[in-house]
Amino acid sequence: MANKGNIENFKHSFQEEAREILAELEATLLALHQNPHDLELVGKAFRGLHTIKGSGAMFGFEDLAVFTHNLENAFDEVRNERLAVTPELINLTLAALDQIKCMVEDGVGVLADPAVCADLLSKVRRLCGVPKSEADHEALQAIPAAATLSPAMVGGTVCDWQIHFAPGPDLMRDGTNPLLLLRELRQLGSLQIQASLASLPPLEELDPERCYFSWDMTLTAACTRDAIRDVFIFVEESCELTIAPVSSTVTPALEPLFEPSLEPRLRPGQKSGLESIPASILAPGMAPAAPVQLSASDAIANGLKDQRSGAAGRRPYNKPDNAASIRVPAAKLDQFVDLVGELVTVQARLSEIAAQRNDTDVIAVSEEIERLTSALRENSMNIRMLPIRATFERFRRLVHDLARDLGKDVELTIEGADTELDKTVIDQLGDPLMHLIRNSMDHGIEPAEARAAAGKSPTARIHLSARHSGATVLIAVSDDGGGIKADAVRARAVERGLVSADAQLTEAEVFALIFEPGFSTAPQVTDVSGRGVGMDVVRQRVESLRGIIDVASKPGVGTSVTLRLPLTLAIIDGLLVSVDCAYFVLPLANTLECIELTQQDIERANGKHVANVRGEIIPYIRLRQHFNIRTARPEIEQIMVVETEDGRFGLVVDRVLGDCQSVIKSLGRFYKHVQVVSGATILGNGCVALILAPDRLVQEAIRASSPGPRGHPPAATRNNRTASGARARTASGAA
Amino acid sequence: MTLYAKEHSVPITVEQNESESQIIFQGSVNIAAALDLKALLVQALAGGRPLVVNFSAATDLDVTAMQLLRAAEQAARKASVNFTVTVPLPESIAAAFLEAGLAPLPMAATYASLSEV
Repeated sequence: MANKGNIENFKHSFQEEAREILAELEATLLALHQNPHDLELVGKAFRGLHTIKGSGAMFGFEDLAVFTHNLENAFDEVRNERLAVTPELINLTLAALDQIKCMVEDGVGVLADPAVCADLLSKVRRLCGVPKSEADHEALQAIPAAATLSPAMVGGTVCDWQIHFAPGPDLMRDGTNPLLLLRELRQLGSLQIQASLASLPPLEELDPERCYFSWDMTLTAACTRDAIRDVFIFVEESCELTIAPVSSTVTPALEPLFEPSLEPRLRPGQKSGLESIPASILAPGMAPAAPVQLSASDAIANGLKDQRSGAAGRRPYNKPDNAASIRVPAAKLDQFVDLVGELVTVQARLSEIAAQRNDTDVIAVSEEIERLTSALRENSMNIRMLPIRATFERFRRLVHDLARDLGKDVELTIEGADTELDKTVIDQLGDPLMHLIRNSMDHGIEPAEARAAAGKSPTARIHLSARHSGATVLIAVSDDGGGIKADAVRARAVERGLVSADAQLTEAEVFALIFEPGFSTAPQVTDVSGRGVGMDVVRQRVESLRGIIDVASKPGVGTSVTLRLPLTLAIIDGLLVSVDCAYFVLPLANTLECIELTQQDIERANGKHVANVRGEIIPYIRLRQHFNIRTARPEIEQIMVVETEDGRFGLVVDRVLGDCQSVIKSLGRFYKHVQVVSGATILGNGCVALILAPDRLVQEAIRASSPGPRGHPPAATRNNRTASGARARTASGAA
Repeated sequence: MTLYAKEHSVPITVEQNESESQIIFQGSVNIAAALDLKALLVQALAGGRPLVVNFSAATDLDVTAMQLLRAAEQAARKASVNFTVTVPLPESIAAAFLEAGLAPLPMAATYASLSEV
């Protein structure tokens, strides 16, 4: 007999499996939207729903099973050619999948939003030809919890929501003011709010920049759960947020009737009790006058009994071969990689000690451990590498929904979905890509009339691509829309006081302004964008990943935003160098060669910081000067030639100590704006070495040597960022 | 006498006489001043004199300041130090407390306990 722990494990397995199935179902539905007569896709959608239902019933997700059963019936009708695939059916099913996702994620399979579920099922039943009153009634029977709610909820009018919001500890440090979120929430309706101070520590122990408050709120509003969630969209990942409908209007006499159960809830001839509910608390079309029909719930119950009767009900759904792969929680993987990182540090220390002892036995063991550690590190990194396909594919749904909402015809094309990069990087890419796509859809892609007038195809295109480029990966979001209007961006920036009216800005600098906080040229805020928050989030996230943003745009042709990101954030192959007693690590991926710099070379260049490398003139930066190390330089220095975004440059150091595998440690928040250093690492001798970011070092040197400010205060004053926004580089002429 | 006044950006002053310490807020008090506010509160409470918080010149208050004031009030209670707020509060400050879900201030008294704010 399964104990509680086993049951939890089974549930967890179901959740994992359901997520995969739901993702595939979504892709299938979107493909079906394009090819409504493809019976293979219809069959695939049916099987997906069938599996979700069966698995859900087996693992106790009973509401989920009942709900999905109704959708499955609709696709059975389609399969038997009694119902056509229409955009309405696709959209309803996609919305239903969202509800199923919530039920899966909740972990108990309870309806996330009974009113919405009932409404969806009613509409699906009506598509199947069931009269409205009957469809509503069937929906109510399938979703009994809906009857316990305010009737207005089904109809989309005013209802109560219970919201719990506990900000993450760093919310305010990251620049978010929770009071503004609460203010935005208040705009949705009437808000009763109670702050909880339970986590507040004594004054002496209190970290003044950390948020200890949490809030419990009751919102009375005519809005959906998604509308409430949207308020917290930029902080949701780092906070605790629950949103639940309030079902306080339940009539005590009815409560037993509405207990969720898979057994038939009424015996034939028995009255449901619905007739005793005042009409005022029932949704329109759920009038108590109609007799209760048992057929729907009976059929569902019988169907589910079949499902639960054995494993036969569970159809394998592209399950990987158990012998070939296992599921491992991501947290365990992270822990494993952290440990390997520590091992790499300890191994470096061992190598150093072995070299000092000059004992051949110790050296032999040390070399063996070095070899094994290197292999282990390679393997652990490979385990974390995932194709970006899943991240890309989920934007099909976003584009589909936005295209519908905005009344635009947009096709999403994907290229390079098999490109692999570190899981940590992938995990953080979702938000920036979402904002870029939303921005393209809302502001980039023109309305149909404008496209027709410009002689463009009525179907606009958004292209998502990924490809490797050395130790980085390039991810681009391109559109064939109207391009960025540099004049409008500039005018808005002047209006907002970001630049002075007489500032001389290059087009690249103008484009970079779109990443400034709160910047938007949109005449009005829409549901999709225009608050000027999204692009700033993109910049912040890309910065945190040590990445660079390129913007290319041509009026009338389109815009392309490219994110250049490192493949991994955990360990880098580096070259250890030193200047006096300070150690630095240069990423090996950027390093081309090392040449000597003698006094004669310096004299030959007339004191200019350039070196002649086989006929090529390479400018160089002295790290001693850059980091203000006030000791005499050695007679012969070393120039490390590095490849950067801005070309080849030299970095002058005292000594080159050799290659090293560096475990990247964050420098902490106090140094987060120091752009030229991407992290630090602990060397075998216990010293700390700064890991340099050659691209940023060079850009900072270029900026320092370029003539005076250009009337661009943000670049000059904000957090030591580069002139063209954080790490934003822009170019025009290519779309 | 003015015990401590931060320059420029920190809009908080502490005035102290024999009978009480008064923390005076000016303009917008937010996370930028949080570290200083904590230091001032700890310092003021250490003196053992009754502590008065004066918002009359304040225009805005964020959650960091509210948290610190609440914690200071709890510390004061524990140390049996009288902790009060001058009233009436500016409208914007009262609104900020309300927005944060903290109970509104009764306006009858000259001073009110912060827990009533």
